[in-house]
Formats: sequence, C-alpha cells, structure tokens
Amino acid sequence: MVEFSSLWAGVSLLADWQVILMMVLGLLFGIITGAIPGFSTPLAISVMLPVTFSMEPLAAIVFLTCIYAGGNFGSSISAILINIPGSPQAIVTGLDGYPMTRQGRGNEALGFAVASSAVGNLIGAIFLILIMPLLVKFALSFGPPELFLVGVIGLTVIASLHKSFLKAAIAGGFGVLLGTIGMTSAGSTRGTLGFYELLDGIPLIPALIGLIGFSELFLMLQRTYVAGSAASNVSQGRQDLSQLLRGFKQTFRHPFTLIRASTIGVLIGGLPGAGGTVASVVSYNEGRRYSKNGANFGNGEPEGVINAEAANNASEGGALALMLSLGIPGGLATAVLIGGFMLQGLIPGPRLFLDNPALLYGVMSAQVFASFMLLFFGLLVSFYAAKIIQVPTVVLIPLIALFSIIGTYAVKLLMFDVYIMLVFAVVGIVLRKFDYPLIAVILGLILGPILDGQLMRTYQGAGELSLSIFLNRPMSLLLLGILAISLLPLVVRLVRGYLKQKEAVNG
Amino acid sequence: MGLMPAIKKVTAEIVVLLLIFGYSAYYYFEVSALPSRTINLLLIQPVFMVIAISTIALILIKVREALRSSVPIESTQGSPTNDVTATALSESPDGPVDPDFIKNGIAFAICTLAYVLLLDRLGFVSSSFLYLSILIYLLGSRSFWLTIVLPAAVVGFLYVTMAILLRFPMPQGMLI
Repeated sequence: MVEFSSLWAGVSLLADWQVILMMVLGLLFGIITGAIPGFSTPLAISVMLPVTFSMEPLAAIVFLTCIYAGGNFGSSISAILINIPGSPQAIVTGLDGYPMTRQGRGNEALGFAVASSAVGNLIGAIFLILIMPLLVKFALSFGPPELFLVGVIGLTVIASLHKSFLKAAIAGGFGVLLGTIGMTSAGSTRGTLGFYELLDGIPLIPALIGLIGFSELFLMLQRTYVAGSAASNVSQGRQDLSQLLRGFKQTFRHPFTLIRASTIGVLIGGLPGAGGTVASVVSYNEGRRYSKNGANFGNGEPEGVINAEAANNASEGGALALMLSLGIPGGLATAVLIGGFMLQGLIPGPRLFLDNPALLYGVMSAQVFASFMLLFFGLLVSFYAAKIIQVPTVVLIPLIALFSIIGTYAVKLLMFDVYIMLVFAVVGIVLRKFDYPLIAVILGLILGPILDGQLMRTYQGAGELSLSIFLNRPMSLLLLGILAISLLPLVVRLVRGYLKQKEAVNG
Repeated sequence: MGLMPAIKKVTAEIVVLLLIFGYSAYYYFEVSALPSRTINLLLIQPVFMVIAISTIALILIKVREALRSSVPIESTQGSPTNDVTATALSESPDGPVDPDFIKNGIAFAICTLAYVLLLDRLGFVSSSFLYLSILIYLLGSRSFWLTIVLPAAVVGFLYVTMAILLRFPMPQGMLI
C-alpha cells in the first residue's frame, strides 16, 4: 500500500519555491502551447527537455509533467473556439465545444473544459498514487524473461492499434534495431558506422527531438492553421468572465459523469499506445449512451465537453503509472518524459521507485497540486485565449526550430547530437508522410536496449533460449497470456478483413 | 485515382519500404559477421525476420492495390461519415494544404541545413539571427518587427541567459 512516510517526504519536497515556480511555468507553457494549433504536447515537452538539464531532478520532472497536464487542457481551447484541436486528444472536445461557441456560449464551454480537466487530472493523480506501489510490487517480481515479455507486449499493443499492422511492425522493428546500436555488454560494437559518438547507442534526446518535434514542424508548414480568419470570430467582451464562471460552476453538477469519464480515462491511459485521444473517444461514446441528453451530443451539449475533457486529462494518470512502474511509454508524450528522466540520470522502472521513493511521490503529488493550479491558470489563459491562438506559424516554426537545435546542442555541447537530430527529423518526416506510426519507432528505440539486454540475460541464465523458459515461470506465463489477449483485436481484424474480401470475390 | 498517380504513389511507398529494409538488412549482416554471433543476434535476428516478412507482404499488397485502383474504387479513401472514432483516431486530420507548401518546405530545409553547418563556423549569435530573420522572411512575412526585431530579441535573450547567466559555452566562430 501507499507508504505514508515516503508520500509525506515527497510532498515536503514540493514545498520549495523553485519547484512551485517550475510547476506554474510548466502549466502555463503547457496550456499556452496546447492552445496553439499544431503545437502538440509531445512537441512542447521535447522543446523544453534541454532546458531541464541544469535543474534539480524534482523541479525538472515536475516541470515536464506539468507541461503534459497543461497541454492536455490547452489543446481544448482552440478546439472549442475555432474547431481546430491544438492536439489530437482534443478532437472530441470540439464536437460539442465548437457548436457551443457558435451558439455564443464559447466561454461557458471553456469553463466546462477547465473544471472537468482539473477534476480528471485530480482523479488520475489520486489513482496514480494509490496504484503505483501495487504495480511496482508486481513488477519487482519480474526476472529477465518477464521484463522481456513486458517490452514485447508494449510493442505489440501499439502494432494492433494502428490501422496497418504491417507498417507498425516494420516501424517497431526498425526502432528496435536502431535501439540496439552501440557497444553491447559483451563488448561487441554494432552498427556505429565508425562514429565513436554512437558507442553508447543512439543518443535518445536528439533522436526524440528530431522524430517528434522537428518533423512536426514540417507538418505545420503545410497547414494554414494560422487561425487568422477563424479566430477573429471569437468574441471578446466583459460578459465573458461571467460565462466562463457559469460553465465552471455547472460542471460540478455532474459528479457521476466526471467520475465515470475520469475512470475510463485512467484505465485507457494505462494501456500502451491508447492515450488521451482514445480515452476521450470511448468516454464520449459511453457518455452519450448514459446521458439523458444523449441525443443532443454533437450539437453543443456541455456533458459532451465534460466527458471528453475529464477522460483525456485523467488518461495522463494511467499513462504515468505505466511509464513510472514499468518504464514503458504509452504514447509520444510519456516517451519524451522518459527522456526527461534520463537527462537526470534516472531510469523509469520499478527500481526507481525503490531507490527514490520520495522523488516519485513528489512527482505524483505534484500532479494533485497541479490539478488545483489548473483550475486557476486554466481560467486565466482561457480569458485571453483569443489572442494566443493567433500566433502565426510564420513565426512559430522558425522559433521552435531554433530552440530545438540550440536545445539539442546544449545537452552535451556536441554538434554531433544536432546532426543526429536532423537525421531523425528527416526519418520522422518520411515516416509521417507514409503513415508509419512514429510511436512504434520511438518505443523500439527506447525498448530495444531493454529487450536486447533482458533476452541476453535470459539466454545466459539458462544457457539456451527456448519457449520452455517462458512457460515454466508463472509470471511469464501470465504475461504470455496478456500478450495473446493484446494480439486478439489484431487477429479479429485480420479474419474480418479476410472474410470481407472473400465475400467481395464471391459477390 | 487514375493509373499514373496510383503507380507513382505505390512506387514512392515501395522505395521507402526498401530503404528501411535495406538499412535493416545491412545492419543484420554487419552484426552477424561479429565474433559472438549467437548472442548478438538473439534479438536482432527475429526482429529482422519480422521486418523482412512484413516488407514483402506490404509490397505485395501495395502492388495489388495499385493494379486494382486503375479501376475506380470508392471505398479506399474512407467515406466522410460522422463516425467519431474514425476521425479522432486518425492522428493527423489533413488540413487544407497550403499551395506554398513546397516552396516553404524547401526554404525551411535549406535554411536549417545551412544554419547547422554555419553554427560553429560563424558563431551562435550571428548565425541564429540570420537563420530566424531569413526564414521568417522566406516564409512570407515582410514586417520589420517580425523579420528584424523579433529575431534580435530572441537571440539576445538566449545569449544572455545561456552564455552569460548559465555560462554555457555556445558555439563560437569567426563572429560571435
């Protein structure tokens, strides 16, 4: 169960003005960048990654997780006001939020979004604190075979979620191969192409910034999301504040919706590969089924906004639980967060929890405090929202590019890292263009060394490698079962596709 | 979709596939030439097999799709329904494509490449200022504030915080 002494130690670590300042800055940065169309949450975190290098570990990580929390809410601002989601997870929020804006209730919708985001975040954070010790206990009984299987599960779940399984498999495999580059524990040097800088493996931070951040800039170039004409429709006036507060207050008249949506969000957030977008879709559909206003969903129904926002913010708790306990990123945002931990010399996983309980409890309780801060800063930014979403991409792209390049350089003061970043940016652009799931490459890159190391240890422990090693251990048998279940949707899809094709041929 | 665009699209897809596969194969053979082959290939061999099989399967599928799409099929592009799940799950909803995209893309790529190559030759301040200023100009802004004042302010801010306050050794060259 929760160790109260560590929890208390963690909370008291937060009572430092620097940590609190970083939380506020992180939230504000997250909300503001979230509101700018095209500036996704993973991009926001990756731009700020190098900045955290010189900070204390707690301040650095709390700063990044607060950007994550803020971004989850911020992206709904532009979804509601101009029907352009700041990031994919807010698409569902716009379904009811934007119709509300067109009815002249945009600020009310923002009020609903702020309150339900904060509640979702809070429930996610509480879940995180309660469930983490259990997850870690579970994960600590894992040996090399189990850790290997956990990595495989992480990879396959993502593969089965993407619409083209083959592309996901190729992308994941490619990532794993890249992840194994460098000197192994046995002393062989693999795939460095003669660059001594690659002996430690491909530097993760430059690769992440390139793949996620820089390649997204290219995507931003082709969108005229400069929000010029659309944003000018956004009304501004004195009555806005009262509208904002009205929506804010009314949210709390739907306690069951809030709890249901947050629970769905947490559970789905905990699945690798699913994340906030899927969470909000599922929660929205469930909400429509249960609500007495279900028929009005899609026409500006506040409950729709509540369902979507509470779920996508709560999903963060689940995603963090997965990432902190097992070291597996469930999505792009948590993948970049892993980079943030590594910059501080910390490797997410069960050991981290044992070695640094106070730090992790600090990070988790910071989420609780961030939820309350989100109430205030969410309202504040919403009030000025119309100005923020008008930042033109003409300025945005060069600035983010500059920050990414200088940031990558500043981590180790190596130009080599900048070149690596650009190489990965090109890889990222190509993969995005041809619809390969980037997250699979990144997971492969992060999990590759883990998979390789654990498999090697399994082999060395048993002197051979056979299926019986995995079948004779209860834990790994259980994980094999989970692996089979996680592949189930894929099998169903393949069979269905096959039947459909057969039908078409016969018809 | 007509025949020519379809073939073009499939060729591009296959080129990308072959690039990924080619790199993987190169890596695989390089590693299998290493002394402790079994241990080194434990993970790499099965992963390479997955890539190889998936690549072949995907190429076959793409070629077949291309052959079929010379006859118009309406269902391949996905119908614009109100299906929440479908719209929300496709990570990047295609926005309106800017006609200037290609021009901007080339400008962005060339400027960035030049910037990175010049960064430790010219120095951080001058190269960063030129990069921001020229890129903002090329992307279409003609405002004095955006092309001159903003870059100067941003670079100045970065230089003061990073080089002077935090004492990071920023890249230096002929200028600063």
